Amino acid sequence: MSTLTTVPRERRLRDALARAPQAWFALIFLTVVILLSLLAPLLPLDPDTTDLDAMSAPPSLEHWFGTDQLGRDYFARVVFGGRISLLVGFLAMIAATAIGALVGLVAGFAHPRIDNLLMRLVDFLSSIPWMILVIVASVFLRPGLVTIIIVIGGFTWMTTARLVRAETLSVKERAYVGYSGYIGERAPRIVGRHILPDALPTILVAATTNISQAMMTEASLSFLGVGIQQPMASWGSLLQTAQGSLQQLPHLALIPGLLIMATVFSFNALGNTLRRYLSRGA
Amino acid sequence: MALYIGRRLLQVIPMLLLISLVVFLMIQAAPYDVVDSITTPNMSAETIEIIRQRYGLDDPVLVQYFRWLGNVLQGDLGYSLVSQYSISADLAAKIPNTVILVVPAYLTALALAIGLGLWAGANHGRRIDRFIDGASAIGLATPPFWFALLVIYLFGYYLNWFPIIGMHTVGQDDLIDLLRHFVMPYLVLTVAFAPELLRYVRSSTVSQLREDYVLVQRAFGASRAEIFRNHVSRNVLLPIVTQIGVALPLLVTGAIITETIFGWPGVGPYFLTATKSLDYPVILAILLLSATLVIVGNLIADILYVLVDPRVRLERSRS
Amino acid sequence: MTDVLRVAGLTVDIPNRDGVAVRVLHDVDFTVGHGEIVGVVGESGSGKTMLMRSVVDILPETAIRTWTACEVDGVDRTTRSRGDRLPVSMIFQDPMTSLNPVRRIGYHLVEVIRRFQGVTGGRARQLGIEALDQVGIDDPARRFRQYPHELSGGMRQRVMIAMALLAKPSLLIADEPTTALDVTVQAQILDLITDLRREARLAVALVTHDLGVVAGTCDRVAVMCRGRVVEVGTTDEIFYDPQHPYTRALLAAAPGTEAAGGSLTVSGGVASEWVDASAVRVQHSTTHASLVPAEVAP
Repeated sequence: MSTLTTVPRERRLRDALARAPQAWFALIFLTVVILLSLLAPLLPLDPDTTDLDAMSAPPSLEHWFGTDQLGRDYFARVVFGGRISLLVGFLAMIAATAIGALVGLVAGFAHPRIDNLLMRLVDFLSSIPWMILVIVASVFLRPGLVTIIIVIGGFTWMTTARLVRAETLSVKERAYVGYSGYIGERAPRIVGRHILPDALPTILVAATTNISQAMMTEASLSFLGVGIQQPMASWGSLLQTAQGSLQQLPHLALIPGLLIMATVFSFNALGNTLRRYLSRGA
Repeated sequence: MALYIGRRLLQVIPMLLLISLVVFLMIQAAPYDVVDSITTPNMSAETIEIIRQRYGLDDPVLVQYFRWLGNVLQGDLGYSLVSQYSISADLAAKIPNTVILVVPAYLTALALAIGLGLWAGANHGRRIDRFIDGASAIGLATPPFWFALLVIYLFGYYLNWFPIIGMHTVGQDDLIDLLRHFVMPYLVLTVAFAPELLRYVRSSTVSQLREDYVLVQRAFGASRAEIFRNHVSRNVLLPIVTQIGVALPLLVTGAIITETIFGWPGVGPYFLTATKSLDYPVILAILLLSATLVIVGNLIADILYVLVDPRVRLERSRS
Repeated sequence: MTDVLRVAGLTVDIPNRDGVAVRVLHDVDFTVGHGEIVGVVGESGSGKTMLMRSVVDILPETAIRTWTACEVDGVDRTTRSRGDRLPVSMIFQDPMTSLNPVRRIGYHLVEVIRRFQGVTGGRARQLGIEALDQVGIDDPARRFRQYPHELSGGMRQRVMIAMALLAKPSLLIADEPTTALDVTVQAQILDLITDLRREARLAVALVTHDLGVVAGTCDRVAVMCRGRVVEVGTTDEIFYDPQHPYTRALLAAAPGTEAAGGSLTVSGGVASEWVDASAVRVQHSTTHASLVPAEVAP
């Protein structure tokens, strides 16, 4: 029985991918970028060695992305910058998705009074423009890697919470959930056994949105100088540095930006494909 | 109708009070305050105490809060710790600069979004739709500040068409000069605003075209153009009116990054300078202002929606 | 005497999601005579609605339609240009969604008046209000100014009928016009349609899955199964002398012909049992010309 249902499911996913060429681009691009980031320390890449013979060099065979003003290999810097950008993106996404899912599940399942309270909190946090909120929070904490993850994760979960709450409310109405309550299953068990699995697709799609949003936010903050701090570098802070030498070395600005764009685009494309697949399937 | 607006207003007020309380407590929690910024290490403890008393910092927190709130309601947002200038006066000088940048850019983005979104939605699944949708997906993934750098490089450095920084050339104050400074940040902002609006218009057009009334109109011999002009576009565009409310906070915070990159003397650079120098009263004043605008904007959006949509209009006035 | 509508050899294919063409209508012949009410019955998915949508040219965009004949009032309509107006009006199942929610009732009516009668302004308004009155809507001038959501379902279906009449049709196609309505309202709408047939000398094609409606309203019945018309006959012939096995099963499944409502399903909905049988077509020998009620016969 299970094989009967899983086979068409996989085929449907393949069909969904086939109809969306951008999803293929996304898969391939993200695989390459993530692999490069994971393997970076094992590769013969050093973002800090300076090549005094080639300072501010344009892209060449030796230095694929050229070098910066100090003669550091820009390809290596971009790869290591990507590590930080992706790390922040993933961890902040996990934080935001986890908080959002938890708040959403509790709000949707618990007593209406608790629901009301949680949703007022969501409204309250949503009423502050995210740029301001995140910048203010990053000011009150000391800027840096951990801070930025906490700040993005802690202040961007509201949309996820709303989506998961709505899903929980609709799942709760289904007969088997009511039956579980009737035969005396405890609330956490009902949520874990019945509601969470049904809300999982929603959470998954929200996660893809969260990661591209987190990466974009990190890049903005680092670009503005309130995110990742020297000597650490992310794509956003590479762009900040590149701004100063834009006239002489435009490629230093071009490359990290293109990578941010392609990564965000890819996560969005995957999310859309996933959503389309899930809405037709099951 | 009046009842509905009244009820919405009643919901808004506690929210505003809560935000103001949080902002006030954050000012309290800040590692140093007004007195720290005007005292010097060689002042005696008594002098500092006298100054504290004069600022009312010895009063109970609640008393201080209501005094502060009273000031805020009269438009007094306090003073910058760094420059000692009145924040209200500073903002009054900065906000108009932001407004003249944001409003044209937003309206252009909205017009683009409506035009292209309807066009794409009407041709759902065809080449032009895929092209417009793809372009908006790319636009959505483009970091605005990076796009700004590209624009600066191309039009500022390479082609040398436009000045890359500021709002006026020193000594020049004419409109042409302002426009030359205006073009690039305007372009960047327009591109930053448009994709999300465009996606909204497109998807709403697509879903309207699936409605039964479209089929009925076809059955009654209406041409594609007629259905689109007389029925679909109206259903798509009415809810967009509410966007005017939602966009209200953009008047202050809509261009923080763009203004900073282009050295446009609006709220953005003011805010970021304050952030970097830990000028808490300024940061929190802007936080308070923008949150207020979001809440008021949502209220306006809701009211506009009720005014615009005949279905809600009736249900709401009955209830 | 010619028929109001004569369709022959109608075949429609619609590609599914994987691009494979699915045949929703197989070589269908269908006629409606002057002043006649023809019922079209069958389970959902039997092609009833697609048949009607073929006639008024509102098939899904991807559909491929071929036919050997389509005559309306004796005029060939197999090839016709886009601006060409057919004297056929169609009303739909769900009157709640048939009208544009952000346009007033009057707007809908005036649009049709302008398009089909070339009348605009105050005169069009006048005609619109008269049409509302004609379909039995009280206080038509007030209703004219209201939005669709301010009217009940039955009233909205009356508005749809008023729109249909304003297009000056010879044929009214009613696709399950009462399914979404309360039982009492259903009867009123059916009465209205029957009255109009007499007053406006209208022929009606009534799509329904409700055999009770057919028995009470129709002169002739076409039974559809899996995209084919399997049996055609007078209402009496179909009810008392069904020839096709599918028709018999359909009648057996009905909870009693007087009972209104209830979705019609044969043998637990497995129409595939009748795949082979549906290739057989039963045409009762009676010609439909003799079925026209005496009072409308010329």
